[in-house]
Amino acid sequence: MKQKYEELLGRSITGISITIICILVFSILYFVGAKGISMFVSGDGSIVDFLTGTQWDPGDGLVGALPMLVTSLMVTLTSALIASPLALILAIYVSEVSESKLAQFIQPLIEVLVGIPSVVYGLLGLEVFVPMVRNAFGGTGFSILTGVMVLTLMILPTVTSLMIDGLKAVPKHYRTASLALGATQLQTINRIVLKAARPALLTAIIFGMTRAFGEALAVQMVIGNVLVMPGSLLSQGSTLTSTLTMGIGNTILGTLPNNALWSLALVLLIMALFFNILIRLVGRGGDN
Amino acid sequence: MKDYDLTKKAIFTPDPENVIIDLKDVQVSYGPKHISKDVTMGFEKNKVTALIGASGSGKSTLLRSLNRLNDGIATVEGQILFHGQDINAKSANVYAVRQHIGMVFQKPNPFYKSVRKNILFGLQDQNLSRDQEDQILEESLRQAALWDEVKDSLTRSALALSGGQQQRLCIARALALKPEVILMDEPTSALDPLATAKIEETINTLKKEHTIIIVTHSMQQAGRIADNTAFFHKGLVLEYNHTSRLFTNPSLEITQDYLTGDFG
Repeated sequence: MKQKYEELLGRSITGISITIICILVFSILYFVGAKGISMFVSGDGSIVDFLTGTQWDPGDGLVGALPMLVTSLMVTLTSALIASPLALILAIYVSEVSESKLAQFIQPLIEVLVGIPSVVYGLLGLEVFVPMVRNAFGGTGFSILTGVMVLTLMILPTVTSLMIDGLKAVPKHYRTASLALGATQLQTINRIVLKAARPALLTAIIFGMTRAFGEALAVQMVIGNVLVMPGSLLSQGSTLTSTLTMGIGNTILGTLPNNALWSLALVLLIMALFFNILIRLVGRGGDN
Repeated sequence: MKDYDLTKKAIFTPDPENVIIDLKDVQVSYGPKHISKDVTMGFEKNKVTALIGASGSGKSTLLRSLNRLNDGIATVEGQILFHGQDINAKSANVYAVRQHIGMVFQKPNPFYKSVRKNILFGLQDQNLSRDQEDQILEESLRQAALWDEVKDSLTRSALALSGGQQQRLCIARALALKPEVILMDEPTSALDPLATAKIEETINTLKKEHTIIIVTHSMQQAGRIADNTAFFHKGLVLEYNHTSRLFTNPSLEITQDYLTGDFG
């Protein structure tokens, strides 16, 4: 009878935990969703203005979020574009050149970097990258480019670490089989290992993009926080997240400025879900 | 276990005319661990040679040295002469060696690619025409007795095949490079008796054009397919002779005891 009791206890604990998590997730979705659409429902701002307008001054009824959307996508894509190839090279080195002592030293180091709080990366950006950009391109040094540099540095360890795991998950016997057929190590990596690991590598990149898109603090510290449509990588800007963190403390619950920020939060939530679904779809591609 | 005199060896020397791979004092070690010791023996051309012995006796390690698959894993010393050329020398072209001396592994290991791409994998750099590729594809699959079973599904994933079919695919993949020697590391240990019989049949036909060196744990298998058999113990090759001779009338007590199951 003891087994039966233990079985029941185990089932109850997992059941309760799952229920709590489900309630939490759905509450968040409902809360952000309801707050996020309240601006459109009340008619204070139109969804078309929100997605296509370029003026953001909710106090005056201007709720164009396009500049932030564009800036967010710009920093995310650019930093992913720079970080991914670097991460791939590092990951190949660590996972495939296994006899190297340096490789065994790099992986734990990268994992330490993953855990560093984003404010530290922000400070680093403020102290190192801002002056660097100022000296190289003039201006204040606060720019989208500086944000990209900070984000690249920030997501590089995460993407690398995930890529290493992905490459190491490719069974060793694929490599041996390829070598036994006279392929060089480079051919083996190129034709066998990278192809087998492709879903995992793409997942790593998307995961890095998720992190970059959602990062508020480090970006806010270096990007300049100017709410205009970005003209180039050197212009100052403001991302969805940095606008949110800057503004949410200065607005009153229930007013248009507050609701407009909730709409930004809703966009972030939708993007996070989108990235999540993308990771699942890409990950599933590995079975074929 | 009895104490045997491991200094006594009974190694037959094949006619030098027929020897394709000649080992001279080969030593293999993983760091301080000495796996294969003082292996000196010649493998006959167009014959099946079986390497038998208990687990850990150094058969597989030695086999992997024959096409330099121990590179970067273990240290191999001594001479491995292939047609008189030392392929264990630093200057030897490892990739060419592996194309001349192919290998089939214990577990079937097809790539998660189509049957066709698996077979042609080793030929990618030769810029063959589609016709040439098709020809090699059919030839290799026929030699491995797999053609009739897969000819209508050449573009399907190789992983959809049964274990026995996968192993014959791996044999065909090695054959596509037209190697002179094929090394097999317990190729049937993961297969059922029926699939095993098919592979053994294939090995028998292959020896007309190829030399086969096979590591096996099954003495019955060695008896069925091998022309010559070498018995390994603690990294040493102790007895090597024609299979019929070694199985019916071994020279050493230790071989006799291993064959009758007194140890191992």
